Amino acid sequence: MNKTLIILALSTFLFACRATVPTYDQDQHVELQPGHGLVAFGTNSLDYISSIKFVGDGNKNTAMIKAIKEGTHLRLFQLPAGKYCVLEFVAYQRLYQFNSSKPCFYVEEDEINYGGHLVLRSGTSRLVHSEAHFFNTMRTKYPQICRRFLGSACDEDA
Amino acid sequence: MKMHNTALLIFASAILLFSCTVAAKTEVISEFELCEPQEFSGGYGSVVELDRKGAEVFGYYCFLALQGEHRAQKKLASKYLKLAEKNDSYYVNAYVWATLSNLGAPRASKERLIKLSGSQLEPEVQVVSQGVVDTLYADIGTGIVIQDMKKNIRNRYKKPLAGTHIPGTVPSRLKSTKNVEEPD
Repeated sequence: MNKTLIILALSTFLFACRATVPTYDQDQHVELQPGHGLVAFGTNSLDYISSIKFVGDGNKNTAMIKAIKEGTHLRLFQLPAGKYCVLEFVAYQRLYQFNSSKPCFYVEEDEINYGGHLVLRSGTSRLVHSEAHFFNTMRTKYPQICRRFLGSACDEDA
Repeated sequence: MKMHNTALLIFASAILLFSCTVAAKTEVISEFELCEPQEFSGGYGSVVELDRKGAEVFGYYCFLALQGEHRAQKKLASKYLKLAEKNDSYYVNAYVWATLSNLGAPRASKERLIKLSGSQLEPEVQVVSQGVVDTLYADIGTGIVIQDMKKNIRNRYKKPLAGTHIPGTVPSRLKSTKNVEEPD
């Protein structure tokens, strides 16, 4: 019985780990898997965000990014192409869920896909599109990735 | 008299409902026919020599592109670029859609499409095409995300998976009058 419980706990742990997608924190070479696209997802929060969970392609895929500091940040990670919606996030030591109108975005294969900035405010959390912030962050923090996916939009005089 | 009025009311409602249904259906059909070759002869959505599925998918992208969907505009540019291998007049279309798409959401992949198609155009044609881009940008814009394009196309052409078999049925491609043995 104990063995079964341990295996079950381990499987759950492994499954949870699998759902967490690695993010690119540095300007590095990105090797996209076949059928995948690069996602740029921003956050704007007054508090530490433990996790943000995405659900995609008719609830078949789930993905999670973790440990995002307070402030405005842009995270890069890859996902299989398709439609994704923000399902829930953990912040202020609470779990918040979007029920009826989940904010969604699309991931195109072999492209960088800006999903938006999730602005976390108690009661009024929403997904906003700040292309200017996206481009600025890409230019300054990820120049190499920016040049590869966004082309001349990343030039200094652009 | 009262009964007569009620009957009239029911009849009128039925007519109204029928009209609405027909109107709604007509609208949907016209949306998808908007980009058919005959509707766009000489325009920037025209295409020839495509099979039915190809033409329908093309029409779907064209419809979204004309609504300002930058992803559909890019897909259209890629499709035109491929078509241009057989008919070089399509380089203009590829150039126009790629440039338009890149205005709303700049991407390196779109720049490559612009460069590829633009290199095949005479300088004066490129100037005229840029004018078309400006007009289209003013009229329809770009950058709007409207639909889950992949899913919509997938659903439109959903086919049974290979190997699936529904008891009592024969897949149509296996139906044949030849070599069929009659049961004893």
